[in-house]
Amino acid sequence: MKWLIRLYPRAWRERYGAELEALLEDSPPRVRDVADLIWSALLLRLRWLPLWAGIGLLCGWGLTFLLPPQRVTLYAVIFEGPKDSGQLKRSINSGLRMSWQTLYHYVVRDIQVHEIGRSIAIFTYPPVASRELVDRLADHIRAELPSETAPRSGVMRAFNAPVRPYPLLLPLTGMGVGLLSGLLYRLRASPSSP
Amino acid sequence: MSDPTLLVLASLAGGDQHGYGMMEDIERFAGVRLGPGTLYGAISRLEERGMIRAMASPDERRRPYRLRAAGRRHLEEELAKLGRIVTAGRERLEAL
Repeated sequence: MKWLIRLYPRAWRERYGAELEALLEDSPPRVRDVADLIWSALLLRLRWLPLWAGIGLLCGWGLTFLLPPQRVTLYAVIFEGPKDSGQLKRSINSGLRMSWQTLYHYVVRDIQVHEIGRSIAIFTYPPVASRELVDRLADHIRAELPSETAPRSGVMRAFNAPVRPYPLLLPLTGMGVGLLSGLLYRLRASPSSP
Repeated sequence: MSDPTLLVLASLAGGDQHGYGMMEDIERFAGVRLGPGTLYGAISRLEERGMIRAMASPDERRRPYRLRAAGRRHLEEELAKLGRIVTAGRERLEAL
């Protein structure tokens, strides 16, 4: 069982290896001690990884502020003057569950519904969302709501909006790079063989 | 109380011990047998945090460890917390 001590980081082994070896000589060996030694060695080797991952995540997040913002075309359908904004919201939600939505199921994540005073705006932006989707949703809302509560006008507008580049991708990539760097650093700093 | 570092501190509160001595002592007073890796993982963490220190010994492979002031304070705080939990738990059980 003593060979398992070689799994521990070199610096740790130099300090505690001989004592751990003596303990293994003194205590009656048990099968579960093998798992215990392997698990403890793994924890010792990996205990800095969350720190590396955190640093990577922060760097990636910071990068989203440093890089120039991306310009995206943001479509908005703004319905003004509905008497019952709750009903309009319910209609939008049922529209999002329409059968054609399955064709655009990947688009729904990019739709945001906002309530601005008595108006409701549906924002979508490319590359996945399309004007066609917005138009179909607008038609659905007009058809579904009773005429007395239906919004009188639905205005389609396109904005050229600045957004932070890759707000999820960059931090997650940073975290992955951090984890990998941590693993490589630990492996280089403390090889398992003496 | 199954945190290995607390068990090690509680064991050293009874006097200096080397690894095997601690393992036996902990099994005696807590009924928990710490694996060798878990025990030395806890010892190394506690020494790193300045809560225990290794004493000189003729047998370098069986060096005893001693509780330091920081370790004693930490143990007292943790035991006080556990004491509050035990008291509250007992009171609530009696009220059932």
